[in-house]
Amino acid sequence: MTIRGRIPAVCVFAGGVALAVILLLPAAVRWPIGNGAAFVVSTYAEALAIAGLGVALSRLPRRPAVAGVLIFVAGVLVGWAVKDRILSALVQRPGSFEYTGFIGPLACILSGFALAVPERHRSVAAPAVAVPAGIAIGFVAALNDPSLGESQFFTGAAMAAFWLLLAPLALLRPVGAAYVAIGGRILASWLIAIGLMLGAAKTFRHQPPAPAAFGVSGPHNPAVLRAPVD
Amino acid sequence: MHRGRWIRSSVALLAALWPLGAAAHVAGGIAGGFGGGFSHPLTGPDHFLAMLAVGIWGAQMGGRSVWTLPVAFPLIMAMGGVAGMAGLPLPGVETGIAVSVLVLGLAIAAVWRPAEPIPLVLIAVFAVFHGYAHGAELPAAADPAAYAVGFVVATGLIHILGILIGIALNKPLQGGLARGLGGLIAAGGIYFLIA
Repeated sequence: MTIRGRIPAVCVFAGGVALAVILLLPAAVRWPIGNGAAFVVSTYAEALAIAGLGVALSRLPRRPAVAGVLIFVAGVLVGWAVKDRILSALVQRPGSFEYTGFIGPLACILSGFALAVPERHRSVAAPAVAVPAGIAIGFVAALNDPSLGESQFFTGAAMAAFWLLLAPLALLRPVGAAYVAIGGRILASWLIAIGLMLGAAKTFRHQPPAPAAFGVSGPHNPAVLRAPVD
Repeated sequence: MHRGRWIRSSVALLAALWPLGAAAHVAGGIAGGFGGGFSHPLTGPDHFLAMLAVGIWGAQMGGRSVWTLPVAFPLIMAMGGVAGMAGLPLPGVETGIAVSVLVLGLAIAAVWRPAEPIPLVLIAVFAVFHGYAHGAELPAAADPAAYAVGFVVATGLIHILGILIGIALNKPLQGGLARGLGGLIAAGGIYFLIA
């Protein structure tokens, strides 16, 4: 492999090391940019969705792959830019804010489908999924920005998201073996399963047990009734 | 050459049997985050053996089954998990899990190669029981997101381990080691049914 061919892998490695260093630092000394990057990695669903999208894009020809990356970047910027509009719309409908918790699981499921679809449909599916995935991560990062609009947190979040997308893309693209396709299908099933489970976990959120009244014991206590099976 | 194969086979066999010594699968209190979810299938011999058997059976059958079974299992398991979280009634969860270990072990021991839809249907039915057991625990987890990611990843890794073991054990003694391992898994299933 030529030196030029190794540049993407070296960049991905350097980015990974930088991200690992940021994650190892205590939150107090990370700077807002580091906190933004750490936030994206800590959002399991969104982070997995982006990585899955990266794997899906790595199985595409050059043009749709580049288009998918550009669409994702544009989506992140749009998600960040429209945060206030979406929030004001949500505030007007009481209870609707709860639905923002489903963004991650939905992104995960969509990313899984982009990976699972047959090769001939993936050129359309993966760039199409890049739109909601990008908007989702941009919006969620903006929503969780503790600095209230300071660009450093968002910049860190966007850079980490970009790395999560590019790492599998750069590492898997040169590998053309059939087992990468099989690995992609297995990963797709994981992403869809995780998305379904997370969505359900948010829907059927655990209710803390009510304080036991006098005379209520054992099987009448809701905490006992919801004891885990197995 | 032969020695290398035997070493690989022995390592695979040891890796397969190691979790049998794990503690009984008792989930009490509030489950943790990623670690709790990741360790749930690993520390429960019943879950572990069934998921391992899925990988070994797929590798034994070869062809598309190598990946269709490990792909189908987590998807259907998630459906079972949703049912568990919703609190839908599913009788005989533990019996279903024990039967899954027994049937999958017997399938490996008998080198059963049915038509493609049959293993998929079997796996789907068994996955519902395994998913239900996980799902019932998930809403109480300290971090449900991390918990779900942990146990789906652990499940997938056990499948992959099973595929590798299946591939490694398929050749020596004309598949005798794989069949023997299937017999041991089936014996585990009988134990879980009785216990």
